Amino acid sequence: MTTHKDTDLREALRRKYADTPQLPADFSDRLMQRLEQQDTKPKRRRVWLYPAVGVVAASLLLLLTLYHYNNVATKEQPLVEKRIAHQRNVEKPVKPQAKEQELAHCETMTQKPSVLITATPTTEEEEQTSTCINEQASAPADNNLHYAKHETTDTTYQKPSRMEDFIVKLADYHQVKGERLECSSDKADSAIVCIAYVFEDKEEQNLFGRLLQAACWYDSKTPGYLLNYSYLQFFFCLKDLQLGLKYLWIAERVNGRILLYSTHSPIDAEVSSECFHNYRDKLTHTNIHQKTKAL
Amino acid sequence: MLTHPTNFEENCGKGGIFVYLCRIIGRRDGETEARVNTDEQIAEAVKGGGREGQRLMVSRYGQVVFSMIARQVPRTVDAEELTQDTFLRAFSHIGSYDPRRASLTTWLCRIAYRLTLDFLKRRRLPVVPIDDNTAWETDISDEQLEAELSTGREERIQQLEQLMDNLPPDERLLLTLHYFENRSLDECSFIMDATPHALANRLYRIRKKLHKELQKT
Repeated sequence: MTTHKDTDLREALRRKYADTPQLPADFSDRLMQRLEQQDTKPKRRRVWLYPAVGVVAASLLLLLTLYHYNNVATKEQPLVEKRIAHQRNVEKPVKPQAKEQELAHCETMTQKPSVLITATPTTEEEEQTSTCINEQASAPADNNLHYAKHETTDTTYQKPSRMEDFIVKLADYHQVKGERLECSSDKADSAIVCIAYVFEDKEEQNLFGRLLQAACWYDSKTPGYLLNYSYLQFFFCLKDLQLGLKYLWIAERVNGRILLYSTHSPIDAEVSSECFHNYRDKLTHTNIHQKTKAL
Repeated sequence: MLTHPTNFEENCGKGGIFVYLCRIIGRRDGETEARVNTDEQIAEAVKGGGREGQRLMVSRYGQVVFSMIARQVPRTVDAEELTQDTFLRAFSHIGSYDPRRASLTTWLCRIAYRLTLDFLKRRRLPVVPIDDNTAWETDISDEQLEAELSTGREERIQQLEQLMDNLPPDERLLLTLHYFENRSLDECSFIMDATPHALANRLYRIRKKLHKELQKT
């Protein structure tokens, strides 16, 4: 490393520190005195330190344990009880934020490509984008009937059976009786349950809107998720891998009424679509393929 | 050789100039050798906890340490206290001293440097710092800097004397160690716990900063 002359700098430093004070003569004695004081001073035994640390640690551990068990107990509370507790609450206005979230969720779903299911009747369909509608209905006993908003702390997984339960409640409210259909290829197989409902196609009921909102409960990644809808038809599938069931909901507008089929069956069971056709024919007193009679 | 006063006539009478010179040379070599051993011996003595070793260390290196501290700290009382702290720490950490890395005085200065910096940071003495950001505006070579800082002009020297107070403590310490105490950058790097290359760069920046300030006035 080169040493710089920088004579001006050196001279400035020399002048600045020319009068550096000298160490006092008794410095050494004072230092030794201080040393001796340090040596003779009994070292404070921090006897209290370790028990105090132990107590603090034990308190923290206790608090953490209590917090953990409290959390576990809260989570294990049955969801049903929560639902009942929620339903007993006074009707609360829907929060704007929740509405916007649901609207956004439903709107994204409308952009997904839909798949035409061959099992459905081949009627002319008008595709139009649907929106989630907030209907100002009279105060119902159950908020969900007229606005399929659900409030639950469990947002990660929704059981497919909730949709079925919702339809049952909706039917009860509108005093619509469900009719069981035989939809299995093997008539002895009672594991396939299909209930058909006939609703009035009234704008104030907006059944298709309710069904769509209920479908919005489910994440598109739910097993078996398949949703297709239009003005005339609603088609929704889900699977419950825990119970080994598959669910199918079909709704279609026919002559001023809405036929709603709610089916659940074992995942590997074969559901015949003929039951839907037969029921529809029976209701309309006509074979849609032949188009012999109009209602 | 001639720094060691000796009675020339007395020595010449006993053995002439040749003997005199041999004695001088021998004494110097002996003293140097003894000094190296003394550093280690002092360290060993202090390790043992003996008061004699401690006193010897203080008597030999106390002034050096005190001077280094007193140049940076305004009050003498504080400088004394810091010097005491330096030696107390040295006594308690004497086991970490490695004679292969540095001499005992350099090791003591390293302790003193840290304590002084901590003290000055705690005190936060009011200074008007020289703006470091503009130091890079003018690009000036090392040789040019050296020329600018070696003018010999009285006015320039006085200005530098005043500018020194506005330098941060660590920069002022570096200048003091290197220029005033004539310590090499290697020695300064041990004291300041930095690499010689980093110190060289820092030194360049300080000189450039001072030059910039000189140009303003």
